[in-house]
Amino acid sequence: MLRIAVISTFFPHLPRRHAHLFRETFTIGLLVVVLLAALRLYAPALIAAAALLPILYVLYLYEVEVWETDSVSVLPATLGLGAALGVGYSLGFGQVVTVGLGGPRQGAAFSGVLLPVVSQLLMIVGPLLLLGRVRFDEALDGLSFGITSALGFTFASVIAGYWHTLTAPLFGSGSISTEQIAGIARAAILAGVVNAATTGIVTSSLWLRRHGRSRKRHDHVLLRLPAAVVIAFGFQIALGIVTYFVTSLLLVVILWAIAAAALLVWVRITVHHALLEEGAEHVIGEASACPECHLLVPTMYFCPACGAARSAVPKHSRPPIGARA
Amino acid sequence: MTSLSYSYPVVGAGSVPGARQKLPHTRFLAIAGVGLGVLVIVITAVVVLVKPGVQSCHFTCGPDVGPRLVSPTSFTSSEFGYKVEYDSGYFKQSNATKSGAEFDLTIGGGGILVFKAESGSDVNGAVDSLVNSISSNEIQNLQEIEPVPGAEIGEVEGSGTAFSGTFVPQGGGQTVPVSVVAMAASSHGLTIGVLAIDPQDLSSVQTLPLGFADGAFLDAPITDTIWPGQS
Repeated sequence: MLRIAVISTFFPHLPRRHAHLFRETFTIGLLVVVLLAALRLYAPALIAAAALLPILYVLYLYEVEVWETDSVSVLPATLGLGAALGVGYSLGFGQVVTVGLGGPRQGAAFSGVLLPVVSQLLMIVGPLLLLGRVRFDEALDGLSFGITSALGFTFASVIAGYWHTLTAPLFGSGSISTEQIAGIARAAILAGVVNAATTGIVTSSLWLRRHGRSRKRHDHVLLRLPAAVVIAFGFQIALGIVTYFVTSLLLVVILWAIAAAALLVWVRITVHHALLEEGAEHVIGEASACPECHLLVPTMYFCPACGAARSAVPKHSRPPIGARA
Repeated sequence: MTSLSYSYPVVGAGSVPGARQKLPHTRFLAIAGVGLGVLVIVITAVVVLVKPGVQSCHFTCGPDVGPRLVSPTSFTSSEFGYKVEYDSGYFKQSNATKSGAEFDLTIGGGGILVFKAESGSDVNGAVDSLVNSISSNEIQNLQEIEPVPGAEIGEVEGSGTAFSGTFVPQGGGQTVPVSVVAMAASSHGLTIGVLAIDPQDLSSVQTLPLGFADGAFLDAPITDTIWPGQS
């Protein structure tokens, strides 16, 4: 459980035997970003870095049919609204913030606290619109809504926020330094991971609490909604302040990477306990094939052979289980 | 010996709901690659097509009426004899040497002008020297915009290059997109170079040439530079 892994954390419905495909694509995508940067194509490198995770997530949604036939209504509320709010956020605050060579006139409280808080709130707006839907009542539903919204928001806000840089000549005048490549990684990829993690932590906890599936058997104060909110906003504010005060781009990137790693682990802990909470009821159904290990096992919340959570399987391919089925 | 442990029967992958991979390996990679490529190409094409047209504008095509020096003070190079007039209400002079000085704008976005001079007539060398003097820690991601058309220092024609970059304040603070111009002109064996750095504002190409938020203020000392022998 305590692993730093982007794919298995953000793509929980993905069968383990398919995950390598996403890992390969993610790795190839990162190499493409570095290659574009090495060719001095700064704008394409930044766009590719910003688009990598959202494209993978859309492919994941298609591959595992997380939302089944509801994708048409769910995608605009999450990815679409997240992207629209991301553009609005960048353009809106771009007008409000006045800058000088000494930095924004608004200071650390504005740049390091207010902006991250507002962006985090905006990323949660889309998922909140889906909170009342009874078809999406599991913690993993909340997680996927949060991640989709955050990835859409991050992609759009990066493109809108870096527009002044993208409009520079396509070919840079000199080679792009390691620091600049690291800067692209922070602005696009690490920011996407951090935003997806913080938003996913909040929405999965919110879904667990709101839909009353928690049985309080694996409950802990650190895993409840208030703790999730504190952790999500705390990380966002801490990173905002770090970015404001630390002047070395490389050090900023390292600190963002550490935060992203810590948040990935926290998402896994949150999801793990949410699944235990939702599956704490002992019910045994008819025998069915486990999509993870392909063994014919009694239908339970967790596969008695491999331990995989049945909640991590798309709903349309799940056999009936327990009273809620 | 016979094992007493029970093992569940294996079901073929084709019969397991949700286990089928919808996209085969190569098609998945192709879709991901095409998707990423299309996004990159479309957005890049859009930003290239709609990029602000800063190419055809020089400092002097800025505001209709620029700020005039009411009670100019000046810096005179003790080594080369040229003079830079500036308004002490707008600029604070610092780091003066025999050959040049720095002028920090005290209003607006807080731009910087750096004057340097040397013997000879190597204008391009002076521009390169100015660009190389830019700290890569303080000004990062320096991207060339274009040559400065009609670059002049004190009515002497020269040449220069405009850049876009990111200012990273060393004393703390958030990064700021900046416009940078390095220009130089030569007359009678003396070459004067000027480096101008200012927060970038691309909202109006007509009023803010080359994206210099304080272009009108920064232009004045450059235009009013007096070469040795001039009055």
